[in-house]
This record gives sequence, C-alpha cells and structure tokens, in this order.
Amino acid sequence: MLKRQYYRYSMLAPGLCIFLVFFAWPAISNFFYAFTNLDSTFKYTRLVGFDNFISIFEDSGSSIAFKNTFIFTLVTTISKVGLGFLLANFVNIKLRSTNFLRSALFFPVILSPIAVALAFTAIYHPSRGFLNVLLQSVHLDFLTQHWLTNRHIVMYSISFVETWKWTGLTVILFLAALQTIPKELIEAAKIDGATSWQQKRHIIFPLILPVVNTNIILSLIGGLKVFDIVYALTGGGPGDASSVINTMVFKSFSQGRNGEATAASLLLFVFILILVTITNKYLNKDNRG
Amino acid sequence: MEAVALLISCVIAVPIYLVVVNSFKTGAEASDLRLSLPTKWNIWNNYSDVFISAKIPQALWNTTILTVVSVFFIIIFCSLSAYFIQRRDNRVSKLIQTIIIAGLILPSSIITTYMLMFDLHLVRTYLGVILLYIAGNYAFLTYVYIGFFHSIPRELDEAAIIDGVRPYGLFWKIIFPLLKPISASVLIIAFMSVWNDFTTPFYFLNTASRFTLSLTVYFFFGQHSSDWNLVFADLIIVSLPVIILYLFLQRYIVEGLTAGAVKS
Repeated sequence: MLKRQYYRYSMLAPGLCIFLVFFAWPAISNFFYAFTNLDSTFKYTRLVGFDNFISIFEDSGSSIAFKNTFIFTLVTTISKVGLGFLLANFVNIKLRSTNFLRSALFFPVILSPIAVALAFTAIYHPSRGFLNVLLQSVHLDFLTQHWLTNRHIVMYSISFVETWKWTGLTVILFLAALQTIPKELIEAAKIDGATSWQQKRHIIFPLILPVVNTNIILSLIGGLKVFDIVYALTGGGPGDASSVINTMVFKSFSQGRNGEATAASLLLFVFILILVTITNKYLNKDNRG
Repeated sequence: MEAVALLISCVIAVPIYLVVVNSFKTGAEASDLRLSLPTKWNIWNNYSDVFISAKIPQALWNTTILTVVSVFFIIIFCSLSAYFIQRRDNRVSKLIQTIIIAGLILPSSIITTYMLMFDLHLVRTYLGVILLYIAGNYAFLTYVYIGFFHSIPRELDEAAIIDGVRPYGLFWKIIFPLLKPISASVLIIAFMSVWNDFTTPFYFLNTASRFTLSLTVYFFFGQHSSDWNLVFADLIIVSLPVIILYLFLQRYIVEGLTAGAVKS
C-alpha cells in the first residue's frame, strides 16, 4: 500500500537507535560482565562464574545494603501508596482549600531530590533542627533523636523524606482514576444502602485497581533504585548503616571493583523484574503489562 | 476537615518555608534554623555571595545547555518514533512496543553504561550526557506520545496524502502542531527529569568546569555545611527555574503524567 511509505523507518530510527545503544545495550552487556573479573580499567581476563555474587554476599557492608534497600522499598511503597490513596480521596471532596491543596501536594514532586535532601538535613539537625525543637516544645523530649546518625532509625528518616517528596505523584494518579468513576454508580450504591466502607471496598477499589497497580510498581522501582536522596542525606553512613544497593554500586565502582559493581547492578535488575512481575500478576486482572 | 487540610499543608510547607526564610537571614541568625522572620534582612548579600562562591553562572549555563538540547531532541525523536509505532501496524512496531514497555520498568545499568561511554570517549562530554538523557527518557515519553496518537484519526493522514503532501511534510506541517498539548506535557516532564538529575552528571561530568547545578549544590553543601543562609540560598537558586516552568505549565504536567502512567 502507498500509505505505508508515509510512516518511514527513518522516523523511528534516531530515537530508537539512541535508546538501543545507550540504554538497552548496557543493560544486556551487564549480564555478561557480571560474570567476569572486570577491573578498574574496564578490562577482564576471564570468566569467574558466580565469584562476584559470592563476594557481594560475603561482604557484611553489602548485606546491610540489601537489607536497607528492602526496608526502604517496603516502607516507602506502603507509605506512598497508602497515604496517596487517603489523600486522593481527601482532595476529591470539594472543600474551599481543595485546589490549593492539590497543587501543594504535588509541589515537592517537581523539586530537585538533592535540594529536598539537603533541606531535610536541616530539619533533622540533632540540636537545632525543626523536628527535635518541635518535639521539645510539646514536651515529648523523649522522642527526640539523632535522626541521621542513629543507625537503628536512619533508614526510616530517609524513607520519610522520600515519602514527603513523592507522595504527591501517587495522589495525582489516584485522583485522576477516582475522577473517572461515574457519580451515578456511587449514587446507586448509596440508594441500595451501601456503607461508605462498602462503597470503597466493592465499587471504588476494583475500579481503580489498575492505578493501584501502577502506583505500587512505580514505588517499588523508585525504592529499589534509590540513590540521590540517600547519598545527599547520609552518604550511606554512619559507617554502612544506611547504604543501599546503588550506593554500594557506586562504592565498588569508585574502588575499581567493577566486576562486583556490575553483579550488584544485575541483582538490582533481577529484583525489579521479580517484584514487578509478582505485582502485575496479582493486581492486573487482565494480565497485560 | 479543613483542619486536616491545614495540617497536611503544614507538613509540606514547613520545610519549604524554613529554606526560604533562612536564606534571607545573616549567617549567625540562620544557624539557629528557626522559623521566625529575619531580624536583619540579608537577601542581596546571601544571594550574590552564593552566586560567586558556588560558581552558579557556570553551572547554570551547563545545566541550561544540557537541559534545552536534551529536551529538544527528546520531543522530536519520541514524537517521531511514536508516530511510526502507532500508525504502522506491523510486527516491527509490535516488537518495539514490547521493548519500550520493558524499558519503562528496567533500571539503567550504570557501570556498563560507563564502559560504553568510556570506549566511545564520551565521558565528561556534554554530547555523551545528552545521549544518555535521550536514551533514559525515551521509553516513557514515547509511550506517552503513543497514547496521544490514538486520539488523532488516521483519516486525517489519508486526506493529506490524497492532497499530495510528502511524508515529512505530513508529520511536521499537519501532525506535529496537533501534538501541542502533549508536547507541553513532555516538555515539562523531560525538563524536570533532566534539570533535577543528580546521578548522570555525578558519574559522567565529574569535573568542576562541567558541574551542573545539582552537583554544585551538593559539593557546596559539603564545604559550607554550617553556612545555612548560603546553602539555603543555593537550594532556592537551583529550584527556581523548575518552579517557574511549573507555574506556567502546571496543567500539562498532570495531564501528561496521568496519560502516561494511568493508561499503562
């Protein structure tokens, strides 16, 4: 057909080639290099089987990094999706402040993660930071903390910053989905005597399930991939107490242990694949990606 | 209800207000990190001081070049690719759609990317970083464009073809102008992601003369962590361009994100 000539491969090619060379190819070649003894000059002499993975798992610093990444991913996914759902329902009600509130909720999303993280180092400052000062002023002194240097709570402090920054995005996505639900449907349910909880459980939730799925996947990926916020808030410290997979990758890279760094990258890749597949399987009813 | 709204607003507003108000104070007063208004307003001194000591003009220029060029090519390449993929209904376009969906989910592999850039002599070059930004944003933004093309009827193309327009004439003169709303969304989303990005310049532009704003603010903080007035002024300078763009294109950002993410 003549028409076909109008949609040319030369239109597809420039973007796709850049994507394949600079995104897809590194991802694919990573599968190979993770099994080599890649050194600081990016040369390898032999295949080493699973040695890189074994040395990652034997290193105490990296087991902390894996644990932290999972804690961070779990906490931020629950808080971003949970809070996002509640807030979306809240700003879906017409109040005087609704429009302002929607814009305000989204505002942190546009800010630079580095700027946000550095601002929070001030909020978390142990002696003069707003958080501890606030707790003291309401006589909850016993709750004051060294938020970023106490190794038991540092991951949760960082998780809060991530939640603060990104919840607006899940709110906006939930809100868009909520607004596509026909009002008649809710009206009909009310007439039939459905309680507010029953409406949510049996009408609203099934209808917005695809967006729940999207939000969970976005949060999981964002959590597993985290780097900038952690790096700017603590640099992975104190010690390795707040290191995550991507700070570990950077550390291996900067020490020239590139075999291990590619192995860690590959693990991250695999974790994301597994979690996304599981989430899709359980939440995406028509089973399409 | 209004009380809850107020509380939520406060949680969001306090950190931002803290940064703004303390960037107006003198060093000694700002070091208390209080929310009170400045007793002595020191705006001009702080901001001009930061401009020089944090080497803002150079970083601002670097960031602007990188962002403008990347966003320009992202809009062109993604819209053209999406046009092909949505209009040409063959095996190739199906396969590419699958690749793009995989690209939406999977993370970039930073070390092997570094190797590639190293082999191509693109480390510490603007060209290299721009190519990475195009590659990194390609999957999602092409996907956003594909969604939009469903709303432009094929009959429009056919009518133009009968009138004898050439292939690229059809795209640039007839189709591209119709993409304005979605291109505005792509513009702001790509602008934000490039302007705010830290990781790419951190790995690939690690040389002082090519620092972007995200990098300067990070290193400035490392050297001046007790000069809160200057650190905060620096944070404001870095954030302001995105905030201004957001104020103008607010409507489009929400539309673009929901179009891209909700449909997927």
